[in-house]
Amino acid sequence: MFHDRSPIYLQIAEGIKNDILSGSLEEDQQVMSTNQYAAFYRINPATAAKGFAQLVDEGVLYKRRGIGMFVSPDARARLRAERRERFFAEVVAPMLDEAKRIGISVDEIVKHLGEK
Amino acid sequence: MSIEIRELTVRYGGTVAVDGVDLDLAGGKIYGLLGRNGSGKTSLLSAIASYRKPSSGIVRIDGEEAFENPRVARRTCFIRDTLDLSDSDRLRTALDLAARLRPTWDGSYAAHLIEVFGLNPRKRVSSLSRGQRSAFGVVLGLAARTPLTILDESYLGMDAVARTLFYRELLDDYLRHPRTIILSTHLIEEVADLFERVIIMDRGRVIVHDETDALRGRGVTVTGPAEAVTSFVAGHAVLGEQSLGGVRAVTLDGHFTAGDIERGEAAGLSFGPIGIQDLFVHLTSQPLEASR
Amino acid sequence: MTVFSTLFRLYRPILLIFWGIMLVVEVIGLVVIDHAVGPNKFSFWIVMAGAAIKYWPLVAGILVISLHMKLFVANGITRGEFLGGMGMFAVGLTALFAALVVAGHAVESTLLGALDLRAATYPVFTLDGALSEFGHLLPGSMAYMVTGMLVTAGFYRWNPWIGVPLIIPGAIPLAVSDNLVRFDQFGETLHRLPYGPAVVITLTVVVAGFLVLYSVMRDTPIRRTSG
Repeated sequence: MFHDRSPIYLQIAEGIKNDILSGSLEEDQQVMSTNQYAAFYRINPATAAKGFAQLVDEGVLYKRRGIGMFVSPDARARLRAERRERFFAEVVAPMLDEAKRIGISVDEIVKHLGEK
Repeated sequence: MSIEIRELTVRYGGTVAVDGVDLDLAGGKIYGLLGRNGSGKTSLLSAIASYRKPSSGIVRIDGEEAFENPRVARRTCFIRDTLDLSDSDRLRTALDLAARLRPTWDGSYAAHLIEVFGLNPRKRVSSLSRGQRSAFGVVLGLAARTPLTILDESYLGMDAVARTLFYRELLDDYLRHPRTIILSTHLIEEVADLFERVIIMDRGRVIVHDETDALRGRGVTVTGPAEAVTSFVAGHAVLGEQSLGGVRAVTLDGHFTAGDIERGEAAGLSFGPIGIQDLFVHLTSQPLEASR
Repeated sequence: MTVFSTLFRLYRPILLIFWGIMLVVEVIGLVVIDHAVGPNKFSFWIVMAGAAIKYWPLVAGILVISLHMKLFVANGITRGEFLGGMGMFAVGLTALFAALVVAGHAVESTLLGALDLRAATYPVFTLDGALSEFGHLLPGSMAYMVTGMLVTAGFYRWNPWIGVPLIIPGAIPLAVSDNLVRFDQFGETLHRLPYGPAVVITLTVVVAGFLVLYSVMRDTPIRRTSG
């Protein structure tokens, strides 16, 4: 489930964000408690708690005292906006760099994508 | 229970097994103690559990000196790989003894664990296989439910299934009854996810004590043209390196900023993360005799 | 109190088996003597049980140190607590053994008397003599037990190179008791010294031996089981 080349709490946060983006976690839906999460994925609960705390800090989750943690109402929209911004910097830009290195023109790429 | 270790030295004749260790362990966490054979893990644990009096220095548990302290002893359980049992006793006798002497003992949980590991309480300790012996150690250690539980290489001889059961029971019981647990191990990769913090010992000293998560991705491998690598890594702690033709790969202990990495990539370098196991190997792979 | 009662519990099965065997051997012995020799010239029970109350505590003294201490420490008992409880156990065990020797002698003497099987030299049991018998048996039994503990402690705390030479001082309580207080199968007691001083000296050596043991074992490393 997790690899050990980057902190697990970041991997947890990323996984929950993906679940929100894909719709498998809905807005205002309760997420697992840290203990449930730890038991389910066989990880230390403090690590899980850190991942959840990160999401609360980012406003993706919110806490209801004594009940648990829930997906923020605007989480999906915000994550999507964030990811869209990153898409060009992190996905498109390296692709263009690589294309340039091996002599593929932008027109060629556009044409290729048009066929899809 | 919180543990405070100050200038702890454990000596056997002329051999220094633990060499002036200072260590603070906050209560209620699962710690992984890693180190090669002979690095001093067992000696450190023996001093924490008062199985051995420190040659010098002190171990305080919840603020009290631990050695020969009944309040601390009652709340501490240390399971050694060899187990401290009478070989001619039946398992049931050992369980009864623990039930009589340990105020925190949970008999029904012990029965559950006995069943999980497929042990027969009517058998004698001497008839157990290495793996069953280890499993019985886990039963005694977990069912004691002591606020400080120390398991020293408790997986020896267990097959992959038994180890998985062990890790599962350990985590589940910890979630139900949070306490301080120290687990020493060589099998880093399969348990690292359970540890909140990791302590790495090398030649009697503690060389790393950090959150497990902080160690993930802490090491970096920088690969590229020899000269570019050499100038890029100048000033960083190099853990290991290898060269092939004009290409050099260097493993470093540390982080680079995104800016560093961008600059490096522009110079033709590539960066790769290393796992905890690799970091451990790099940190502790100096020849042992160097210290003697 | 926990250590004391738990040690008794651990020893209970072997104690029951051991005294059961003693009883069977006693009955067989008396029948054989009756057929082969005739009236008893000495107390067969005291031959057997009198030896048992020395060698049994000696072996128990070896085992409590070499085997049982680590079981208690592994279950959250400090060395100090264990050694204290073990001391009480030693007193209790040896007192029990001495009482069993006296009680067995009483039964044997009464039985042989009723069957008219007592020769002139047989030590007839009397209520007055019972206390003296007990008083002559107990110090020796205690001395053997503390010797067992002391001799083992040298090996446990250090190693055979130190343990072997320490056998000699470790055996002092045993040697002192053997030479000062004794009660044999003919009902003879030793008269090298009057009973009072003999007992005081023996008990002093026993207590001193225990204190040495306590200080030696109070900070010993807990040895690993090999394998």
